[in-house]
Amino acid sequence: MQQSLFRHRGFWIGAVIIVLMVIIAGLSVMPWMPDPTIIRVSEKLRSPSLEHWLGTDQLGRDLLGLTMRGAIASLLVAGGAVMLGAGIGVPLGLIASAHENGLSQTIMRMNDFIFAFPALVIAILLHDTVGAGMQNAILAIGIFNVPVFARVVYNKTQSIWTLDFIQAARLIGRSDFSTALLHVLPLALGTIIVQITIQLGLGILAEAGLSYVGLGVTPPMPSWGRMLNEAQTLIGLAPRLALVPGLAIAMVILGFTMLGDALSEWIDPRKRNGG
Amino acid sequence: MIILILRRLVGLLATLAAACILVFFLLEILPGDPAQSILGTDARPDTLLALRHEMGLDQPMVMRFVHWIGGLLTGDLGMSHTYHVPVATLIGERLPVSLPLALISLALAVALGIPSGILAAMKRDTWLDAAVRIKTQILLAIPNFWLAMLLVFIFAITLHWLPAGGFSGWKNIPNAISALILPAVALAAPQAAILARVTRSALIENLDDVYILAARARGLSPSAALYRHALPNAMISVLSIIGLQFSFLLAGTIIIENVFYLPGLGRLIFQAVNQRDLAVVSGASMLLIASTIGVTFLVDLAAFLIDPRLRR
Repeated sequence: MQQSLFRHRGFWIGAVIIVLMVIIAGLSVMPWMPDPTIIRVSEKLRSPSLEHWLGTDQLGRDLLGLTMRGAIASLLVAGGAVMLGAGIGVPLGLIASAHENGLSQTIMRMNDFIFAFPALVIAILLHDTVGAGMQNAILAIGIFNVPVFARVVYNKTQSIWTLDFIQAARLIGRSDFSTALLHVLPLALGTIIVQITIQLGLGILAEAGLSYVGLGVTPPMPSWGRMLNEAQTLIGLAPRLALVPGLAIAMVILGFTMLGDALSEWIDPRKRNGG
Repeated sequence: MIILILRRLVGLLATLAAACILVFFLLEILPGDPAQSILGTDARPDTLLALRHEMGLDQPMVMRFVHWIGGLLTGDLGMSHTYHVPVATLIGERLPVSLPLALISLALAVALGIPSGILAAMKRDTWLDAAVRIKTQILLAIPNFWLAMLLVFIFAITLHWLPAGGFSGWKNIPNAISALILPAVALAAPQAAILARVTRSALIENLDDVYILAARARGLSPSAALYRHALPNAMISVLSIIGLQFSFLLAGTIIIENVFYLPGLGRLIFQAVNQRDLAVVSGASMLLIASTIGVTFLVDLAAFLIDPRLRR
């Protein structure tokens, strides 16, 4: 009883945080909102006031507005990377689990291979190949989502393919493709959704890291990671410049982690492991 | 047993070979001419040609690949054109920063993560378990470079207990260690959270197994069953995570090294990419990849030795 209450609490806290984030991101681009990217050096480093609730940064930009709009870059990059990763990884995992043969071996080997690469090194190399900006960040994070989704789907569906009704579907002459799509995939959907939630959180963390070292979205688009980078030298002078975007990142990732944990318990109550 | 290890060894070599090919071609498709970027856009054509010849850029790609692999095998990673020293020397200078940093943070992560994982599994579904879970969720949500900034603000800028950054070598050991404490804590925090979660779930999985029931039926106390039977079994999966974390910490310090201005491997790669110092990028990346693959191999080997079931 107590556990189910706890479980639900995690789910609700996570869901509320994420819905709030989406609303805030949407609000920040509404036409009636003042543009936070406008630079007014004369108003730099103002303390919080009625006009600027969280004060201004080193270029006189409104900290609250910047932080609100920073949610957009986070959501777009993490979302794009998950779409890329799931879009390639889920079919790969399905193909690999359908038959145990050379192809499935090759797919899973390549998977492990990507894991062996230092992610940030790849991101830096990509940065030079594809150039800076959002598409680079999505690509760099998305590449590392592919093996994650492939592995998760493979592990989940391997046992599904041996179930009686799947065998029956194959026997009546259904192609592997339609069996996979109609019967196997729906059973793996819960697992995939949990993984999407987890990877969204990790993607936001990764985007912040990339932006922090200058490999993420380019200015003037606000990004929490870049805000932290700019705040670093000013941390003794105006710690709020570092506190606000950092708290925003931590809150949102916490939201996705809690949601992911609650969902994974919900689809598999035996696995109340949190692992 | 020997055959299994040999098989793994062949797999290891194949992965390494594939990594070499991939790194080489990734650098090959990088836009821009390295010789041009060294000399600048207003270089004279004949100097450019001479440098291209000196760097071997006028040779066919296959020749350059063979040359590069030959160098890797003999420990010759080429020359850095920005530092004008051999890449191997550069890496040798940076490892004494990155390696201790990775080891200290891994030790911290193990010391903090595994006990709280054990505690959570023992007191499963109590408030203690919930507290550990909330703690790990929060630690996982905090970007390590933000944590690093907060640590600098508190312990360096406000309290003046530890340096805010920089590293002046191992001649003065107390200084060197105090320079690595804050980065190590920042790196260790999320890793400790991961270890706590993995330990907890691996332990619970084993505690639920029938052999624990059998041990309890033989009259073992719950804690004896846990420490003598469940824990060693759970440690096998924890061990493989620790192995992954070590390689991650070695390579994943790029951002943290930037926060603390530490002259480590990560910063070396980061700057080398920006300066188009391809010899450094490829050499250091190969080292990181090789260490990841090597550590994975060692962990597999250790699992074979610990777990007799895997030997069949």
